[in-house]
Amino acid sequence: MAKAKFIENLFDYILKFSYLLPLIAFLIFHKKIGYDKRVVIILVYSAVIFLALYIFPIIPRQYKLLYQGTFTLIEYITFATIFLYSIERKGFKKIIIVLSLCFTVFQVIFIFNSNKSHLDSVPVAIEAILIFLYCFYFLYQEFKKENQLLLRNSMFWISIGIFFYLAGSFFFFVLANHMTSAELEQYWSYSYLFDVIKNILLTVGLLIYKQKEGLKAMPYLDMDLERTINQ
Amino acid sequence: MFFLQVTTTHSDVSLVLFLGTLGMLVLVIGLILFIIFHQRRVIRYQQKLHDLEIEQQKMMLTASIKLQEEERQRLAADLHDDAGPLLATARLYLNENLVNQDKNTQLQAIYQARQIIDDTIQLIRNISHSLMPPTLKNFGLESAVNDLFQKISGSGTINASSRFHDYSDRLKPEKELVVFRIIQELINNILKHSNSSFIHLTENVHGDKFYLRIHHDGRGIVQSDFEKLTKSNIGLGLKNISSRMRVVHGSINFEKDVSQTYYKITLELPKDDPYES
Repeated sequence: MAKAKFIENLFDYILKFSYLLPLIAFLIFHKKIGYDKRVVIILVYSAVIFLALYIFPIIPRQYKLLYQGTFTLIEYITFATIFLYSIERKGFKKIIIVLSLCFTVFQVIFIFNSNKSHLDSVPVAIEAILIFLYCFYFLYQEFKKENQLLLRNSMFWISIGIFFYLAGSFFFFVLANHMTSAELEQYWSYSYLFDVIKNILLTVGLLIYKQKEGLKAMPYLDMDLERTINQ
Repeated sequence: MFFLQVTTTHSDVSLVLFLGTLGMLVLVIGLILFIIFHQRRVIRYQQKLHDLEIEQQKMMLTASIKLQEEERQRLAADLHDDAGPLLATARLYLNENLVNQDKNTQLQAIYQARQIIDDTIQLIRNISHSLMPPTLKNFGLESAVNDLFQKISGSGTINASSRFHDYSDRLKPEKELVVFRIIQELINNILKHSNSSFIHLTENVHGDKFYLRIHHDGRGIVQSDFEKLTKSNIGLGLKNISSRMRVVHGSINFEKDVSQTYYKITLELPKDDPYES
């Protein structure tokens, strides 16, 4: 029993510190990585979740579901924003914005109207399905680019990390309200594994993130063209 | 969800969780495997592209050698067909019998020989100028280009103008020659094929880059045409431009103006490092 508790605690520590990996990677290689919006989003997300995991045990029981709902919303907004910046088609971007607004409204209503349950399973399931959709579309978009190596694309690793995490923990969160407290505690530790994998893949994504060159500055060469034509 | 809520008991939950998670992981791993196989295909495609590029480089090298040979042949022909007969004629006037002839005939022969030698000097000067324009050598790219454009405009058939906005730091002489040859080739093409009424060249620098842009209002080509032509068996001049651009580590871009009225060709090359010897 003590051994199981020790392993659970170990998993817990590994999970918490895995959220520091992207931040550490950025601190060391910030010149190479740059300050792209997606990088900043990942860093803010990692820092917020790292702090949230520390705060979670001291949250009063009656606020836990509110806390989890906020957590789900932050997670969804983070992932959706990353895909919003990565997907090129304007039509799909609009779909993401509309679906995100709907999800946010739904989540807020859910948070304030939910009954006593272990977890916000329904929003988590919806979140996962929406993110799967964005992820599939993003991967499809990248597949179409025949002349690039996906394995060298940082967003590929980031999306695979998110995908792996949501796929691995999807059934756990969906079934959470049908489990006993003991089962929930036991499986929760296993779900950390996917969380840790996600954080490692996010870090890999950051490490191969190439700072994009700014728009090519071209001097104004045509300044006296009109005068020439009019001459 | 509803199905799960109705039918699952606590013992079933573990099984559903296990199978569901396993299914999802199989899906993710399957996707990753698919990506890896897809990447293999991409790598093969890139390899093919690389081979094509090497082939194109070979073609460009062949074109460059061919052009060089043509230039040598033209030079040899100029010297053999023009300078050779002129000098032979001058030699005829100055033959050994000249001393035995009367003074008037001698003077006339010397005068004729001198005329022919003057013509030969002019001819050799012209050949030399076509090899290396003296304005370019003595006064630099700006003067040579302005001179070229003035000559074109002077013909009265086309309005040609050029303007250098910032050329206080000259390029290296060998680079200037390459750029000048590219401009000559481009202008030659415009005059030959475009049927335009004006050509305008502007120069500017920005940061460590040197830019040249040529505008004209005739028929032109865009980048895709340029790439197609440099890969084909025709377009020797364009291949030559492309290989010259590589020599100066620059790039060339053919496009149509936003107004869709003019064609523009932009040359971009790195400026010389002032501390580089």
